[in-house]
Amino acid sequence: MFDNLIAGMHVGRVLPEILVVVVAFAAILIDIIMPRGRSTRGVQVVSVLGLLMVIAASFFQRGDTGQAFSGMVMIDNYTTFFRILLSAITLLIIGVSERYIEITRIRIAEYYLMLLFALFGMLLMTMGQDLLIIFLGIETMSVSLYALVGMTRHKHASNEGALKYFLLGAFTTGFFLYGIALVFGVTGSTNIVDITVFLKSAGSETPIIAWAGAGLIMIAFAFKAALVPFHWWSPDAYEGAPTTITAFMSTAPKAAAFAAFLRVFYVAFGSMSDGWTMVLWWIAVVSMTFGNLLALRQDSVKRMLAFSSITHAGYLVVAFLTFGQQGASAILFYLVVYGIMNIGAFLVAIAVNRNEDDDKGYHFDDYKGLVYRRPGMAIAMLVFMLSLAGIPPTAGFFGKYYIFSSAVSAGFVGLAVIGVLNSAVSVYYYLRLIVNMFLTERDEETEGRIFWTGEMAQVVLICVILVLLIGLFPDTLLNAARASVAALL
Amino acid sequence: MMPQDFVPVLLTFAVVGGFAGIALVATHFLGPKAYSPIKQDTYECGVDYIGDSRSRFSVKFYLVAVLFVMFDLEVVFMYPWAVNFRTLGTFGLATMGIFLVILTVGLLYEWKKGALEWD
Repeated sequence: MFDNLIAGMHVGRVLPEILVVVVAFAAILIDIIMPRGRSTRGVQVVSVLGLLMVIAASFFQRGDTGQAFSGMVMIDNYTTFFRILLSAITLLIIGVSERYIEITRIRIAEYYLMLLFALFGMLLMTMGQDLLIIFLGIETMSVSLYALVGMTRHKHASNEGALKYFLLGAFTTGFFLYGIALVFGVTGSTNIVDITVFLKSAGSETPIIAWAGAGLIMIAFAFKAALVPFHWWSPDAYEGAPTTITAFMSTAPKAAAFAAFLRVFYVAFGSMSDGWTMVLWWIAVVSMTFGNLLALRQDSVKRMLAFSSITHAGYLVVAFLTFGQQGASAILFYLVVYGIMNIGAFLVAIAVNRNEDDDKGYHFDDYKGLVYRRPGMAIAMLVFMLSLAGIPPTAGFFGKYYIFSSAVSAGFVGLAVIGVLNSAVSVYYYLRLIVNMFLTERDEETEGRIFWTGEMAQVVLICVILVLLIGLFPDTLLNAARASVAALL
Repeated sequence: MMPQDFVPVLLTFAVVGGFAGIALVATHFLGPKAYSPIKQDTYECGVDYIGDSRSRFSVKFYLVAVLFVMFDLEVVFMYPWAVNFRTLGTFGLATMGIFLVILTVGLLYEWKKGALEWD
């Protein structure tokens, strides 16, 4: 009787997601069985192996595209791209965390569990073809992130950041749900395909309520992607969180937010693009400018990277509002590049930071003469900073190049100019770090101990190699991004 | 439905709001007033009150409440399944089995973490 239903579920297509849950449960069981405080290494190893399996499963299943669970989720090249990106970021973060959570005194298995649950939520967001599934994904991700931000319970900043993030995030949930309700009221469905059909046929007579719904949903996504003026939580949450989590939050959830943002607005609200591109134009301008101006004033490298991540989200919106294949593929390309260089930069920041318990850590002065102390580390940071600033031959250059060229070819020349100017401004604070590392004498009296582990060295090395490889041969990644967005438009 | 169909509703709103407003203003001006310290006191059924109404209580109650809601919802899902058990057959049994395994892992976790112990 339910044969049709079971056949329509296509459970096999969501194998990577099932694997994530199975890994998380295996990790829980390990944590239960092993004595208290001893389980983290085991949990970490299981998570790393599991995530490798998830990536492999996503890769080998890339041909099996189509809907699953009666159209609730959509598995296409786009999903596969984000599956691999998000799992890989989570894998890198989990891989470097063990020693770090030990020195920050948060060595509990829940650290890894929350990361796995956050990954599950993000995967739901990227494949959701129903607004409710996307909502479920956002919540699963966010609730895990609230806990992760507040994990360093003995630190004031951590509690503050977590509380701010939680209160504002819970508020945003309301926006998203109200948006869904309004869209449902107009179109009679929460399914993206049905919404698309309805709004296309409505054309220019799209009811005002649909506009209101789309606007509310846009606010929710802008919040999750930390775009001005919905960014107020991000500097404090980023600063308060354990730095590995900051690296995670500024890359993976941002990518997932953009993934869902793209699918909802390009597909479901595609026929309304004339309206929302205008709004996004302003969001892009203020995000880029505001993030930059505040990043200029920071003395903490961690805060500087937090503000610069707002700027980078602004660049992504520039490509977003072109509403075309070129722009969308530029976004995917940039999300990968940004993830790699940002994780690398945060890892070096962790290494150089003198004292995790000091709220005023991550100071620019700590980098004075780093090249004389740790030449390899300084050169790695140089590569990440140049890439963040968008200077060739790094991956960041091509990321920005594709974004701004997509804006120019879509006719947004003014916006591209503003973007390039902002990019030039941002060079100042990235260069400031480089100057500190290479052109300043080292100050042996104040410098702290370098915290460096084998895992961190490996991941930083991987990031450096990838940044340079993508910078020299951007075509492979760009073609993958192009093939992925083809499913979207 | 036409907009003018809502005119009676609007009228009701106006009457209700007007009556409430007039009653408030009128009692303020017309009512006799006699203040005394006893009258300003908190009214507790005529008995002298003890302490503040906003007392602190253990955060553990929240944990109990959260756990309760979780397993309460489990039952909410199980009733419809139990009623339709025959129709749903193996498919339903397998689905509910997976659901229960997930919840059981959660139960094991909270048990081992000591969430079920009060102290």
